[in-house]
Amino acid sequence: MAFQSKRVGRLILKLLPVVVALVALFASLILVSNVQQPAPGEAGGAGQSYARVLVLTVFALLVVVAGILHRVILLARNVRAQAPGALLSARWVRNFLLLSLPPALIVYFFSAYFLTRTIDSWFDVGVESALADSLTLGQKFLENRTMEVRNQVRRLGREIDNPDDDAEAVRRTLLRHVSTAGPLELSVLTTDGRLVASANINMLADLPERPGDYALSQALEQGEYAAAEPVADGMLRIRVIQRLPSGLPGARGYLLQAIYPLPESITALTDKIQREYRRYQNISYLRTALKQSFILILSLVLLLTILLAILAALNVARRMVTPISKLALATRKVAAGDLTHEVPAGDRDELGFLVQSFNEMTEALTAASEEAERSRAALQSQREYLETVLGSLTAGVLTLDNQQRVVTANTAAEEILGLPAGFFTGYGLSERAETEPFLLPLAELIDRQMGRGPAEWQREIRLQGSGHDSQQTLILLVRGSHLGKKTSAQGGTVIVFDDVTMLNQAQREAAWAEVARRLAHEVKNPLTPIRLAAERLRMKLMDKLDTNDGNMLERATGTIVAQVEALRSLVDAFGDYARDPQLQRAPLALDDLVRDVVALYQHKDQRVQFHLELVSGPSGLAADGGQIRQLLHNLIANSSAAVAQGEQAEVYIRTQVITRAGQQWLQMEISDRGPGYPQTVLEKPFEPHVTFESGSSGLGLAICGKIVADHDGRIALSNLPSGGASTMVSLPLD
Amino acid sequence: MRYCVNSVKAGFFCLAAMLTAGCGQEAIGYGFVIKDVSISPGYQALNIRLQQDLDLSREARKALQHGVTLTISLDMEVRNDNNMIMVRRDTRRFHIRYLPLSERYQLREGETEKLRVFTRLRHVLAVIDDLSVQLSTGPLLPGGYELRTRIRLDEGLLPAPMQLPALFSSQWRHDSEWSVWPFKVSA
Repeated sequence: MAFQSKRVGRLILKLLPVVVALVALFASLILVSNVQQPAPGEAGGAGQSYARVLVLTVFALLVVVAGILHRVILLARNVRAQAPGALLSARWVRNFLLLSLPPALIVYFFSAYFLTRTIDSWFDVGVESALADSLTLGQKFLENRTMEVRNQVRRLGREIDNPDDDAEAVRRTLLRHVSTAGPLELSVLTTDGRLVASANINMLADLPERPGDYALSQALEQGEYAAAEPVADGMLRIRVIQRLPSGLPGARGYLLQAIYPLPESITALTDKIQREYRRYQNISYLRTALKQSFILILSLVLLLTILLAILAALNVARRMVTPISKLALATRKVAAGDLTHEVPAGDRDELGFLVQSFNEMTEALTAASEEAERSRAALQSQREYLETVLGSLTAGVLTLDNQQRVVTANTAAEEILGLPAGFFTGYGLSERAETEPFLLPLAELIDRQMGRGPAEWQREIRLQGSGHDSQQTLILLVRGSHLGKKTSAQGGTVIVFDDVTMLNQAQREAAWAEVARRLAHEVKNPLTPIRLAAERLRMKLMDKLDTNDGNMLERATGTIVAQVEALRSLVDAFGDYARDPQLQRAPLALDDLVRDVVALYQHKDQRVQFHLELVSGPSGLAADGGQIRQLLHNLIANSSAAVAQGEQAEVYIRTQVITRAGQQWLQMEISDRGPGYPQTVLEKPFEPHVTFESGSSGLGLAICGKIVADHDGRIALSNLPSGGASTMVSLPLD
Repeated sequence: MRYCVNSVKAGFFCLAAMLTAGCGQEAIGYGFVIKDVSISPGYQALNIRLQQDLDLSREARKALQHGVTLTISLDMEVRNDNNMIMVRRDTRRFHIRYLPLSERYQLREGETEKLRVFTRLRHVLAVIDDLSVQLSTGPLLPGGYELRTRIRLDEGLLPAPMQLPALFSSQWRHDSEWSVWPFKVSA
């Protein structure tokens, strides 16, 4: 309700200036019509409201000016604020005024011109002269008539006796002389105007009217008074007052008054002449005022018309531009992404149609946007799914575009190659190979294969080094497949690769284990008979031979027994290598185990100096203690054996817990300050019978590799830049 | 067209002149003054005698000579002097016109047909100078009253083209303003 009343109030405020202006315009026109009727001496009626209408008009002007100012200020403020539609409104108003003002001004000037000319045309010297002459003629006629009747009255005066003697005789005399041709009325008055005797042609007429003071005084001073006088009905009559001759000195004086009529035809004519003369004089007198009033009112009308035009222009502009402003505002909102904004429907015209079309367009856009959003969400979901799938793959996957730039790379690809997340995305493989040279074989392979055409391909390559370890050798099984137009609009290639280093090594280890097992079986069996035969020979022949031969027999059989024992040790080592893992996993405190093994070595070999940096525990390590002890033994033995006899050996053992790809690992590094691993070892570090030590079986590192692999761990060999070998063992923690 | 422009200019000029005319006062030799009022309560009426001094300005006389009818209004109000409640209000009008044929001045009182003709304007004004009027009031309660009188030349009854100039010209200012005359009504 309050909203409605506010709306009505606003509507009234909007319409008020227009209504007021129209009323004022109407009033001005009324003024014009009044001014056109300057009835001589008959002012009144509408004339009384002249000032009020004028005040009303001025008030209307003020209201309209205030209304216009208010709208212009609002428009200027909107233009400054660059509100939608403000500039259009301003232009509209300007054009409207440019179109409406010139005709209004032309009409004004020509109206003023014709008005003044028309007023001037009312006055003509000839007419004025004729009217004056007519009036003079009338006056002359009246004078003549007055002279005639004055003479008659003089004669009559001489016939009248002294009223003091016989008033009745005087009345009879008067009665005898009255007639319809005149005099109509005769009366004898005293000098102070008191009636003495009278006679009227109309027996029922009232008593004679007392003459005016002026007439009386004239009659007394000059002896007579004669003049034509107007009467109530617009007619004229001639009044003559004659002083009667006085017989005796000192007697009272008397006056004879005679009233003469004028013929009706003459009276009508003189009345008409008088009226027209007065009208002409009146108009002539009001000539300047008339022009001023006409021009003033015309100016007011023009001003009101112009103001009304401005007001109309402002209102029409606002009315026309409002839907456009709303559309512009809505367009901005739509451009900003707000598709929910709806423009209220306007009139059933072109603008209304435009608004309706806009609303339909936003609805269509909303629907399309929602569809696009759904598609995007579906695509995103699919992409996330694909990423999840790719992320869960153990194989590395790279997708390349036609320029060999990496579009996607899954986590496994970066993990296999030991590179940080996002290393590839957006770069070419050759470009990345400049940063990480170990990628060069992979880049060359892909480049070469893509150059050969769209056929699928598969190759195994060896990368020397990785992001994890520059000394590591990675063996990758790489498969490539061209993305046709059916699967991808952009085309490109998908590369899938697996780290087959472990597999490769496992295969080799399995082969070596088979060799070792057969070797142990074939070699171990004859060793005991050989030893027993050698010992029997020494025992049977020692007593029968002289000292020299006995000594030679003793050395020969000793050599046989020693070599047989060496062979047995070798065969046992092969047996250990070939034996299937029977792990007995149990929670293991690696720091304690390391200290135990180190204590044994410190006791056994004083030249070895240990430097330990061990983390406590750590908890979560489940391993076969015997196997790990052997691992430690082999690695420490390697480090101590690498140092020449008699030299001080320094062995560093460090452990730490690291997190890699969400998995916790126990990392143990055993390093020394010796000559380091030979290159041949680094190339094939865990293969049996590759020895660099005299008197060694050459299976130490191979067994270490096997133990670590059995524990699902990783082992890597490298040489330190400062000198010395380093073996890095990583074991998974639960 | 030149004539037209001149006319328009003249119009604005005249408007400006009219607006500023009220600022300058002619040496006063005209105007309306109420000199004395005597009041005698009668039967449900007041018998009032007004003595005034009326004289018309040169412009007013000129207008009269040119056929403009002048109307002189006499306003009267009777108020109770306790609560200032208006008891009665009345206006008497006197219309003066000039008759060129007979070269006389005609006085008409109110809207009646009673005409009086005078050879001189001063005779007409002399009639209005000394007025005896009866103001019907109905029964008045005993107590104090006041009679407010005002006599003026009614500019609103001038011909329309003269009204705007008359609003701003001192030549048309003939107004005695209100004068107050207390009187008592006894039981």
